[in-house]
Amino acid sequence: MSRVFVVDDEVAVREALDSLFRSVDLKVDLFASAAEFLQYMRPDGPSCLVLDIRLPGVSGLDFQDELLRAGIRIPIIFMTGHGDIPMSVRAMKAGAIDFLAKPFRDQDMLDAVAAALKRDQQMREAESANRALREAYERLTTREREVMALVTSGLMNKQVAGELGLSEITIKIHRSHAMQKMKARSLADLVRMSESLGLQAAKSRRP
Amino acid sequence: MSTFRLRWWPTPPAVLAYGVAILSVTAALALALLLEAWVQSAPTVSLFLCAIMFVAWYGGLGPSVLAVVLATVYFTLFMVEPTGAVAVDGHDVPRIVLFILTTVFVILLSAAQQRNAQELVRVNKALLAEVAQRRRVEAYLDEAQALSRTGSFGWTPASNDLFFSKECQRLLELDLDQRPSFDDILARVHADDRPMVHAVRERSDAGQPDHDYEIRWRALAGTTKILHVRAHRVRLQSGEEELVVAVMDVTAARRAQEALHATEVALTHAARVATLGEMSASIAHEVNQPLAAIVTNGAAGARWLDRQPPDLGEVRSAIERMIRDAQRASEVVQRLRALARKAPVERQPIDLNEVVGDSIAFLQREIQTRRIVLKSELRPGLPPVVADRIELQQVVINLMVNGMQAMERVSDRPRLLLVRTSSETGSEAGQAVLAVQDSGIGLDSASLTRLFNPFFTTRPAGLGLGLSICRSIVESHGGRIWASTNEGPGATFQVALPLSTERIA
Repeated sequence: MSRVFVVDDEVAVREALDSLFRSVDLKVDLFASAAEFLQYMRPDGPSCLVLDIRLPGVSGLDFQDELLRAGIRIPIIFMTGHGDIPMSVRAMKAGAIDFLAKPFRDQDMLDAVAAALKRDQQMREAESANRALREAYERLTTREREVMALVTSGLMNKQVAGELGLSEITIKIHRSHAMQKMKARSLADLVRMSESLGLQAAKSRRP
Repeated sequence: MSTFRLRWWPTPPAVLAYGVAILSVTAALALALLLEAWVQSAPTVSLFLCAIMFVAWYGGLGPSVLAVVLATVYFTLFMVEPTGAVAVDGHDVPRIVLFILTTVFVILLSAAQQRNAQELVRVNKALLAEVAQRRRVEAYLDEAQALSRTGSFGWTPASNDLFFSKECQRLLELDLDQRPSFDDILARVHADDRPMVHAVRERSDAGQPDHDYEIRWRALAGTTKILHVRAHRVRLQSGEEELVVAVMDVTAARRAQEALHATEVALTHAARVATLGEMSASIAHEVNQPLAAIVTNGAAGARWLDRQPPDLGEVRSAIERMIRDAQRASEVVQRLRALARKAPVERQPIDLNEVVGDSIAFLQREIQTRRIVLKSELRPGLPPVVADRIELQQVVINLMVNGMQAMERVSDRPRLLLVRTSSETGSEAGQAVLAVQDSGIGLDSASLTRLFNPFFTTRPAGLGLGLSICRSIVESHGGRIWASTNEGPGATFQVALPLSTERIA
């Protein structure tokens, strides 16, 4: 279930947004301040943050930085009392989805929220694929990782065998084990996975 | 100037006086002898008495005594047998003695008359001197009254007698030939002020001795004069009571005062509007927030209606929120309009805490934006003060904004703004005190003394009118405003206002 988090110090605005989002079957959580939001244990699932740029204590923009630094990646839609171009530029550069001036059209807000949720969904999918890959990679033996790294860097089996000082047949066995464990259907598949994992072929230890 | 004169010549020298005495008596004798010779009958005694009276009148006591002696000698020598000798027959002695007594009596009478006459001259002189002195005093008084534009009049209520000084006559433009009565005077007082004059008269009749009030007076040219009247009730030696009244023409002073007041009001208003201008961003936000909520609530309501089936409960709560938010927006606008309005100053008992609360509400957004930590310690049950709500709010807002501005560059400590109300005991008894304490950059001693002067500012963009206007507002309310530096960082501004004796209406 998609969720929208609203952070605004103005109760009237919070309540209005709550009603608007619920009318299109979105789950809503309301917060009066950034601190309240940080304390809240967010349930897992696609979500986005609708944030007033002027907040008591800490400004919306500073809060955006704070979230980035804490590694909390959540799409943000900013609201502002009056259109402020430098502010909006900064917000968009830091990855905001949209920047809406109050009062905004409901459709604009809903479109922005839909876009944000879609972005979060994609991020989440990419993240979970990556996580699965990493788990599989963790299961490889040291030798299998070495073989995978060298093979995906473009070396022939024979060259790998030479590089590692092993027989070609042994390399083939390791390679096939690695592909099975990584659930790679082809060598090309394995190369893509290796790129996703950010692997780099270990430099030849022998010159 | 006329002088009463006893004689129309000055007192003669002694030699002349004695000479005249001898001559007069001798002339009387000669006339007596001549008459005796011609008509055989002479009024000798009468002639001598005439001569002696003349000498007494002309020469005084000394010459008249000589005249008596001489007349006695002549009388003995020429009128009593035997003539030509000093010897006197026994039967003539009573005649001579009677003659001497008569002359002495004449002298004494004359002397007494002369003493009385001299006394009369002296008294007359003193009287004339006093009259002259009084005339001078009167002239001075007239001059002084004209100079100070102060006239005076006396009024004896019992006899309804009125006496006006020249200046008073001129000031009030009275025609004294018509002998104006109290009612004639009252008729010239502005109709709206007549009840006040009646009230003063009643108080005076009830025994209050002093009165001080102002009335509008209809001048003959159709204009209105403003007169300051001070009256004092005195008891005359005769036992009658009289009201002594001084009348001052304060028209020019009042007009100047009114013009000054109008300028002050305009300046105060301009400062208020300027403050609003400085806060326009937060004010716009304050109005925009409920508007945004209303628009969103409307959209949400429409979406709840469009659902199948429509959720009327949600629609209703969206509408209720819209009403609430619209009311809030309207309150913000009303607060603004009240501050921007050019309303006449209206003093009434008001709750200082309420004014502080309104000011805090008004500045809420500003407080948040500037990241101020606001603490308010409002004494519960504070008795009301007599003030104009808008002006007092202007003072509170001004002091709070000043405090916030003083903390603009503070980043190493909380920007603490403390607003406190209290009612003082001791030397400040009967006053409500408002204190606004900041933790800002503070004040140096040089600034402390000039802080409330017009055009004194420590901010580059400041006009330097805020605090001077605060002072004129506070002082016009009979209060006091002062600043002091804190023990810690920052400064404290305090306002003391007299408490009302009435309760809030």
